[in-house]
Amino acid sequence: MKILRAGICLMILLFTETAQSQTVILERNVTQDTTVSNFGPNRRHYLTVFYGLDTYAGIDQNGLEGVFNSSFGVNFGLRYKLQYSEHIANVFDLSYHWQSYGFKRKANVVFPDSLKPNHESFNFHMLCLSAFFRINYGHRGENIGKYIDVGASGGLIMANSYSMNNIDENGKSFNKQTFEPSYVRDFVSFVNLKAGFNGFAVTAQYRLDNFFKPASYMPVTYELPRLRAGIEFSF
Amino acid sequence: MIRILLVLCVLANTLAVHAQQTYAVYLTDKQGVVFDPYAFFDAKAIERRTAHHIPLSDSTDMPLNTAYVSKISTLVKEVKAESRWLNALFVEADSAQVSHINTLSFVKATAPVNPAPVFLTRVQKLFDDKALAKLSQAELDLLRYQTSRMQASFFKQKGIDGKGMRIAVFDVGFPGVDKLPYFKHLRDSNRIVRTIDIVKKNDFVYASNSHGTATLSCIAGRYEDIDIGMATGAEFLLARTELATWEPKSEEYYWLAAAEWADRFGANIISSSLGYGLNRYKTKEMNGHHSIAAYAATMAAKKGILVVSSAGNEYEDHNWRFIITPSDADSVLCVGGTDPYNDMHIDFSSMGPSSSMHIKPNVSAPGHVITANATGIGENFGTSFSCPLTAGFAACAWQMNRQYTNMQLFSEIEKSAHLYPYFDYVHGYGIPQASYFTGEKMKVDTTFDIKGFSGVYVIDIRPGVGNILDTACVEVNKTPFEDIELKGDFGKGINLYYHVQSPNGVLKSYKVLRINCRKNLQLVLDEKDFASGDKLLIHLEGYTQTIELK
Repeated sequence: MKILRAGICLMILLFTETAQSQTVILERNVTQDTTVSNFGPNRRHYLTVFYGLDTYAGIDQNGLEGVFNSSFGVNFGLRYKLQYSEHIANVFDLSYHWQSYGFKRKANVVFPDSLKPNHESFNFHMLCLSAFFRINYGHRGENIGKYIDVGASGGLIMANSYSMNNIDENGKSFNKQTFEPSYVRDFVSFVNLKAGFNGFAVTAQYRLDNFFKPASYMPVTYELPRLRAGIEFSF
Repeated sequence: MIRILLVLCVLANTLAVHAQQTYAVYLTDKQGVVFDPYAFFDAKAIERRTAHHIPLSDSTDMPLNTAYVSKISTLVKEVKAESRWLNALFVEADSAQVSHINTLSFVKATAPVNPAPVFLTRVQKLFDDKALAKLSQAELDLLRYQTSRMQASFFKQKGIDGKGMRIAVFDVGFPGVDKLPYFKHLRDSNRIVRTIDIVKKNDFVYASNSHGTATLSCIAGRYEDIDIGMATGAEFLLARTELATWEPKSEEYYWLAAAEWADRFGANIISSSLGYGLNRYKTKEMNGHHSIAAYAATMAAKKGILVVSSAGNEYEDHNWRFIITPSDADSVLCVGGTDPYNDMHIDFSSMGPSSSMHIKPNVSAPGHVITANATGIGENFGTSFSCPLTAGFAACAWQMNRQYTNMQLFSEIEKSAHLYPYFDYVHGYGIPQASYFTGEKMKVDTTFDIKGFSGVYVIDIRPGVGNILDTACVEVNKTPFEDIELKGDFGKGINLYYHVQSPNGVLKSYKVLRINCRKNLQLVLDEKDFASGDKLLIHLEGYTQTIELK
């Protein structure tokens, strides 16, 4: 049969003028159309980008009090979801985080130095890898739907700085920035909790590790607030 | 800190399962219900049932047991709707109240109805509420085209305008229908027989989104002396079943309640440009049996009503390659959209089939039209308008053939379509043609000859067929739709449609070629795309030839 078909095709090519005038204006392969892909918001695999905003969530640590108005963060990244069933999935994020902490020292705190600035803050730029366990609930068709994520992240601190604003002896305001101070650690870990609906989520993040290394000249280890809360959007 | 906690509380509250939500409460029986169909049903409903030998009353027709309803209504916040067909109530209640209801001996089951507000319907997203006072010449051409493409003049010449047919239109609201001049003929002769707002539980429907105004105009509106739709003589039942902005699942229960209401008050046809898809369902659930809307539409069809429903506007969503519900029900006449400027599938109209592989859409109609809006008239896009154009057509066809049952009419409308017996999953059988029903359909002679076998064919188009070059096919036609104008002139070239169908009737592939030459047109099927026993159906200019593939 194959030889016959080839023969017919050859004869057409040899003995008729080439039929090129037809323009395909619609072509559908039903098997392909009706095969449901395993990629999608409520299917086996899904890939999205996301961005989030967060801030200090009010629980202070030893020595340093967070300042709400100057503590904020931005993060964005790529998310892969591996879904095991309608209700259970794992989510993996690769993301960049910028976290800023405005703070005030409690009395007698001499960290990071002995000055008493008006305003001071730490900035951290991190590359984070996160893994979440996701529980979905409710009807959601082909959407992400409602979910709760519980997970952990590891953040590599790629850059950091300490900024302060103070008044000099002449009563003049000045700013000072210290890049990569030696007392900042290279790596921190977090636990995360999210509640989401489709492309929107409310997030909470608790830092397990200290940002600052212990130092012999400090009587105690001071630390920035550990809990942050925010919102997140994915597409 | 307090601000954060407040924000988190508000957000968490929006994400949480609400304490109060809608539940369906299914009852065990209708014991003790006294039912007189002549008192309960409108005379039109009795007439419809009698004419088509449908029983005047079976258990699904009887109302709910009032004692059961009163008992439950004392236990819940609100009874939102009742269903005779399901023997169920839809109630607003909290989980404690539902637990209490579950202890009642006459309650068979309870089930939560998803309360989450999801998204705007695509139907409404495409909808443009722009209104004009006057139409330009191009818009007037488009207006005339939307009915002439279905050969409205054949009905009009015979005085057929849907008179005696009662059409129920389900939508989100009909603002302006009580005032606009496009509906004056309906108001003057009291042909808006009944109205109901099932969402707000009253009978005022002339508010909310004007999507319903637009769809109604495509059935029976009139702009000056031009008909916007074909059934200008029909009677109407208008039901609001949709919320304007959000799409909670309870809308499907409203649709069910509206279908029962339409059945009670004698609707012959339901026209519903509403559909529910990926925000609620998975593609595999679009099988005609899963959704409440599909159940309601199927029941309406069983009661003798022709249910006409739009295909939806999901084509560009590559994650969704099936028809949406309730069009997925096999007894629903699903209507896809065509582009008036090339007569082909319009680029947003959802593709079929249903996930149970039934042919969907069944037919097509223009999806770019002129409609009335809340304050005027203007251009609009969507299969929302293909559906009412077809519903109006169906009313005329049924007026001419009152002996047809709803499903016979369904089948005849398919047969009347311009591509029949060819079909595919974007056009269905094509655009219904009135000449089929008026007995004036032109006999089509053979338009082409075909040679070859085993999946390799050469087609010669007969002289005189189509506006094409009388030469062999040697040039590539790169711009098939250049210089296209309305009024049925789609420029040089004709469309050749073909599909490969497996023995069980399910399509394997389909293709449309635009051709502008007459001889030696090659048609070569890929060997892997067909098997022995499959059929190749080729359609050109009204003539169809079937070849058994070996």
